[in-house]
Amino acid sequence: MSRLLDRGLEELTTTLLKMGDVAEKTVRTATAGFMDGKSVSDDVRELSELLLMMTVSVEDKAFELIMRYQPVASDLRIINSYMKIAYDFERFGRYSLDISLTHQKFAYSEKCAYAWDLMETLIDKVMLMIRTSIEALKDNNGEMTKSLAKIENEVDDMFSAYLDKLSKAPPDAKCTICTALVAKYLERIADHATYVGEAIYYIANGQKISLR
Amino acid sequence: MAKVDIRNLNVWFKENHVLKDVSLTIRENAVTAVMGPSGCGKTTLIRAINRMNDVISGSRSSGELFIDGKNVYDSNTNVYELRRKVGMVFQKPNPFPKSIFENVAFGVKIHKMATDKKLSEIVQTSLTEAALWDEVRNRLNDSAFSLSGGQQQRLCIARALAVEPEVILMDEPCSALDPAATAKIEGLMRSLSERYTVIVVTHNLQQAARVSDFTAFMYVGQLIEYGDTNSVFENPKNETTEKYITGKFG
Amino acid sequence: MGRKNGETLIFVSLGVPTAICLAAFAWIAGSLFTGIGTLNPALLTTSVLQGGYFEMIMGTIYLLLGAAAIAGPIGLFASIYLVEYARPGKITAIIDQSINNLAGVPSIVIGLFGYTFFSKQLGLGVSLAAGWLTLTLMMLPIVIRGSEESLRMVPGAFKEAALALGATKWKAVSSTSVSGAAPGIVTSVILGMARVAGETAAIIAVSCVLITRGLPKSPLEPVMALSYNLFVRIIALGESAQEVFGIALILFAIVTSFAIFGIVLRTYYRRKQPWLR
Repeated sequence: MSRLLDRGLEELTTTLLKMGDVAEKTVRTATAGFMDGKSVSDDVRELSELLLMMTVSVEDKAFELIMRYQPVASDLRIINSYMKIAYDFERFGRYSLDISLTHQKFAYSEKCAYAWDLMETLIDKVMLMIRTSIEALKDNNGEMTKSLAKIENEVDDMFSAYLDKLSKAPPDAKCTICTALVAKYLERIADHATYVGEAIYYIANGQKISLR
Repeated sequence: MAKVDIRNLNVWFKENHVLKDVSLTIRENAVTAVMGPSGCGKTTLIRAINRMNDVISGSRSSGELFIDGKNVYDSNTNVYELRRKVGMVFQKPNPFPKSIFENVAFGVKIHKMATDKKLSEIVQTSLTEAALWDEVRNRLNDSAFSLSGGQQQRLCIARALAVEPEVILMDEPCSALDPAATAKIEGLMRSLSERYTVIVVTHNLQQAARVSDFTAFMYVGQLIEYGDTNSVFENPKNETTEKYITGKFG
Repeated sequence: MGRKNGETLIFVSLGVPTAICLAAFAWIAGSLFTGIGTLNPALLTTSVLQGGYFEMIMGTIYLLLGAAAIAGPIGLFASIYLVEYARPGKITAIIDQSINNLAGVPSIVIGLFGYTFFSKQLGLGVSLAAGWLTLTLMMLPIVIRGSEESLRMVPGAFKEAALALGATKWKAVSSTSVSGAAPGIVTSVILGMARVAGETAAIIAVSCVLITRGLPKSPLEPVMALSYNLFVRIIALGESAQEVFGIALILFAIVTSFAIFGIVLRTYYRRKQPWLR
């Protein structure tokens, strides 16, 4: 039996999944630009602003559903979590923009990532986390959050190791600073991916957990 | 602290097994909501508490129901005293065709609880507690039927309060009232719970969510889930409960 | 076109019987009023021994009031029992049917029963008391049925509310159902009185004589009655239509005033029965 609320929830879900894809694309664009030494900040800015608009649309829709239907139980948890996830996806976009702008400001779009391999691995891991969180959302799979937690730990470790290495690096100041900042933004993106996992776990199990 | 302790309560109306092995404890000085689809037995449950089911011919029950530790289904229970202690407000307001004053005084008189002098005091206190005093103070001798539906219901509440009950049972008290009157009664439920134990039957989920501290969900005569309202409405443990409160079935 | 004719046909077939009733009543009333020439207020208070009608008017009134005083309470309690306490079953069905049967007994048969049982068996003789008891038998079905109906019309919600406050069953019934049905109960008593006011056959042997010296000093004395007197005057004394119509008019006036009083009471008390609106 289809309820009035169901159509609204469907719309909400569709918008959110689209957001996920756009967010993923934004991060990929920004990191690729960084690695290839190209200036992509205009494209990334456009995508980031799209994400912001979509966040507002999700929030508005969620509020409308609450006002109209006074949802409870799993419906309420879905709406609560979706608002959080929308914010997290928006953050993906925001940090991606930060990456591009930092790259542009410090390195004038040159290829200068220090310890190239490590950075590549870091980026790969973060992209994996983003993909995992979107898949978890699509399947409403609270169990995938466990793998997210694992990767997040790895990212954290890598980030610390990376900073260590940077501190012993040759004094090519702008590249060093740029790389450090980009790594930080990537670490933040990873954090938000875990928040998405936590929110999905809450929908499925009704419990608030912390994967940090 | 448990005010009402229901253990393995079964109720039959002739051949109809209406309540099936229901057990739950009701906390004192709190609002407990009993919700469920039509015919689930919620009205039968609360009527078991003040033994009003006895009035229906063909009814019988088994099990125990303790109020303050005493089983009200014991053979030596004084049913009239029980019904003074456990008041009831019905779905459709049913004031007597007498004056407002006489309505509130009725219970006090039959239980011989006060002299005529104290009666006026009691009537005023009860009407004040029921948030009706200001509206009727100048027309206590008017007929109860000159009041609006919401006022009549508050009069019925005052009438029940006048005999100094400890538990107040409400059987869908707002279903015949408009939203404004409903809001007033819901506010009353909360304020009354400070001094009394309030048990409300409702089929309005949002009302249960608004007013109660604890919620019981009944389905086809059985108690399916019982817990504090926050948990039941945010994360119900039982799948049937989830289906019911999200509207996925009647 | 056919529908309009149909409507007219129905109107006429309903209207004609109504007109006939009205015409019949008008004719009877008119006949009665021809007797008005023989009446004057003095007659109402002068003793029969001096050519007045006092004792027979009072006799009729005594009979009615006494019967009402007996049939009222008995009928009331019987109706309360039937509505509130009797459990549906064979016995109740038999009681129910018996009341209906009693209503159908011809008045002469009741009179005979009264004579045999009350007058002879109980030794009351030809007396006011025997008349009361016999008329009670005739009034009871009306009082019981009318009271029953009034009791059933009172919404059960009041009784439930009283019970939920801790009232005993009797307290709940008496303070809600009975007090709510009171107007209807009183009306049915009055209607019962109106019914038996003109009773002749029932009281012939049981309580009435043609003439008494003054009013009966105790219920064991016989009494005069307007209906009996009418009967005797026409059959035995062969009096003129005019004079007899005068007495009939008085009887008619008494019955009508009872009925009107009953209606007025009922209308007045409607105020207190908001559930009837």
